[in-house]
Amino acid sequence: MRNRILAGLGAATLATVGLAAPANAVTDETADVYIVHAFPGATVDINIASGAITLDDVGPGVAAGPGLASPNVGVDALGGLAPGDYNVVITNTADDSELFNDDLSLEAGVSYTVVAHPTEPAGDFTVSVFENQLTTSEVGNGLITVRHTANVGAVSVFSDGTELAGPLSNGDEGVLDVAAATYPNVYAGPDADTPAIELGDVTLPAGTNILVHAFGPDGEDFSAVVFTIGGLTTPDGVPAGSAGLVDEGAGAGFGWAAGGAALLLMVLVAAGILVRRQTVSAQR
Amino acid sequence: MSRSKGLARTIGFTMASLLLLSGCSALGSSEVRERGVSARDTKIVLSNVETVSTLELLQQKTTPPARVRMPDLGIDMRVEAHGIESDGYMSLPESPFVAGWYAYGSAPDSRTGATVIAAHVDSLPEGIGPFAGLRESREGMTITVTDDAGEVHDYRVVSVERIDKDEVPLDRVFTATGDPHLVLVTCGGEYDWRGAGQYLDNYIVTAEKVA
Repeated sequence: MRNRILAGLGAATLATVGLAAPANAVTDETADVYIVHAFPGATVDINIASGAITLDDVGPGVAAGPGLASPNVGVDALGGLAPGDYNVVITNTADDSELFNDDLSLEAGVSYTVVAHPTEPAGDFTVSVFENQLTTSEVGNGLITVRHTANVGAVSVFSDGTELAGPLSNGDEGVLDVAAATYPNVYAGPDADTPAIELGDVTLPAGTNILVHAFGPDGEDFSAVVFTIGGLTTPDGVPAGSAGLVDEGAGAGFGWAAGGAALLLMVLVAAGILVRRQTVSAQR
Repeated sequence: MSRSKGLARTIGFTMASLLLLSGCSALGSSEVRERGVSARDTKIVLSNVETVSTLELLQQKTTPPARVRMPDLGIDMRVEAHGIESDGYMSLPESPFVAGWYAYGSAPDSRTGATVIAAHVDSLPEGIGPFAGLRESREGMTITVTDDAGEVHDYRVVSVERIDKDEVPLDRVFTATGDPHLVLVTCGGEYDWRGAGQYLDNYIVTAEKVA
């Protein structure tokens, strides 16, 4: 078998040093779930599939899911889930009262965000399920996903007064598939002159989905819960060599083709046509 | 910027949940790539520890790598940003004496994921490049990446693999998740003289971040 572990750990055991965390992209057979708690004022307990996964004492503003890191919460068990129905029960930590109890249906190949948030205008506890987009229309683009999960009227999303998306009402989402860039002074509001949720300058890296969930009101303030999914753009391979000079195959050094190429190179070098670097450790 | 008082709420972890939250799976060291909900339940308790607002993620900037050094193998090369060619493969500098950083992935100062740096192992005009030495990498060797801001990032080799190009786990090599780490890639193995005019394997060196 040609594949070899030459030193150290192989792929199978990189998990023990925390380097083989589940890849961000869903597979054809599994689903990923992210959870966002955007209901101000209530700390909750979340029970999934009759205790298979439980998250206790989840405060408002938490985003949890596979592969996430601080300031979000990484929960790798929420990644790579088999398709099917998963019962989700959300209770108020303070008094164990039930806030939500329903089945979440997961399809293979889909990345979900489950958001607990208030309705508008009543402010009742509800859960909305969104699907996360994992592809960009162009290499070099990223995604800004904006979800209206606050108890406030319809808003649009602006950058320096230019409308980027909307209007969005409670429960809606807008996805911007745009070039990687820093978008100045991004805010959401009922119109360009009335910022309700201010996000500042938003830096969007290529191949990243920045997911923004409106949060509020908390007292009188509005804000957002944010997490990111990276690695949306992956190459098909790394074609890193073309001259055959370090061939390790059976024909290396003895085959006609190997000898022929080496001979040709020697001729070209001797003729001054090619300048060959002799040292492997050349510095530039 | 308006900030919600709710987001100042604290989040914390018990010792048990630290194991579950890291990339080290509580399911044991065996590779678990396809699974339903695990047979062992996952319970995570978040309580009463200071947290930073997630709004900062909107302004996260990272710094491209500028130089990669591996003293044990005599590698000391400039790094330039690269993306994807029209054929879908990673773009690379023409010279095997310059390395390419996959700019649509993580950088050394990213919170998570693989910083992927690759270089041609050789070329006809220039001969054999420094990354030809990667096959001699050993666990524990040091790799240093200096970024555009002059910041120095240190890594230690944990794995050296030679893998058939058709079998390279690209999702793992280019992963955006997991502790920040470094992956060096080049070509090697048998050279396909008659057919594609390229090497059949990739050498992949994985290194964990130590500073």
